[in-house]
Amino acid sequence: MEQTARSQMIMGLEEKFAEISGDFEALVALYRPRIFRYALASLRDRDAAETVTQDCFLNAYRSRDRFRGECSAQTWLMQIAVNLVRDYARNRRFQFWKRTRHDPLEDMGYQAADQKPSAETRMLLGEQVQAIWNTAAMLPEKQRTVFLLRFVEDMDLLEIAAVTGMKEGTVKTHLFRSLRTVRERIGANL
Amino acid sequence: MSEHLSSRQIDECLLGESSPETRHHLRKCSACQAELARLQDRLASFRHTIRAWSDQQLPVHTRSDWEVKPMRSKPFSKLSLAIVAVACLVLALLFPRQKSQPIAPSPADAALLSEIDAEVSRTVPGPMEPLTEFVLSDSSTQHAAGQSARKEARP
Repeated sequence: MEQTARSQMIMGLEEKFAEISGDFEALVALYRPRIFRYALASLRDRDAAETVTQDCFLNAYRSRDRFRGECSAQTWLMQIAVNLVRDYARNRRFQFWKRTRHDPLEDMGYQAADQKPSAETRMLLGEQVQAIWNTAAMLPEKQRTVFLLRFVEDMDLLEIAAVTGMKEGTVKTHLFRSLRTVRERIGANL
Repeated sequence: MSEHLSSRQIDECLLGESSPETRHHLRKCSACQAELARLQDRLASFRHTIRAWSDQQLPVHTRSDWEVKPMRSKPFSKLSLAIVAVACLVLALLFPRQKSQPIAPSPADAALLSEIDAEVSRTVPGPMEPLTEFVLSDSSTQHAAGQSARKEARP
């Protein structure tokens, strides 16, 4: 019931956005956590993620006249975010003095999907999550992007294709390669 | 189909792209089910951890944040760089100019310098100056004697 009301609210907001007369602030409030999460998981730097998130909404606001409603507002915003993250990461390659890395497990520890794991299971899962996190950082840019969109943002292949501008087959190839790399790096742990 | 699913087939199941044969095998094989469940659990834990971390890191949002901050951050850094560059340029221009400017001597220094000049320009040291009269008178006497001798020698 609550979920239906939420979906209706999202649809309503997107319609408003498509009409280019809606409350942009409401759209920011709705999608900001998701954009920030993707930027943070990709860049691993809170300040950079915040900058990318703000730039994303600023770009969206400036180019709202060009949004024709061919895709959802979420897809459109994620397209902008993916491009900004890519550009930011490429620029930062030359700014070694600015590199700051944050680690979720160092900051707050492992968060179990299972509600109450035993202490031993918790430790083992923490190591495995850390291994996946470390492996994701080593993936090539495109593989990392689709890996995070699939396994953090829980997007399906078509959504990822729309957001990244890749063909569905290309997305699938990158996902299989990234999963293979994760398996290889983690080995028997996974 | 071999005894168990390959890694590729397990990955296909993870992505929701499995074939009917794979799904059929999965229904019957508890080992492959366990393998797939283990992978799904690890990836779900990864997702939960990243999401919880992101929620914790998400800055508190105020209404004007997204409008104001990007406008401030980038031009400000460029402006500060420009200010530093201009300051360096001004300093670089000022320091050589200060060095090249002629230093005006103080009156005491000027008096001392003129004294030294006068001392240096003397042909004879001060204590020996009285002797110069003799030297001058001798030379004038010799000059006069020489002239008279030349006159006598003439016919």
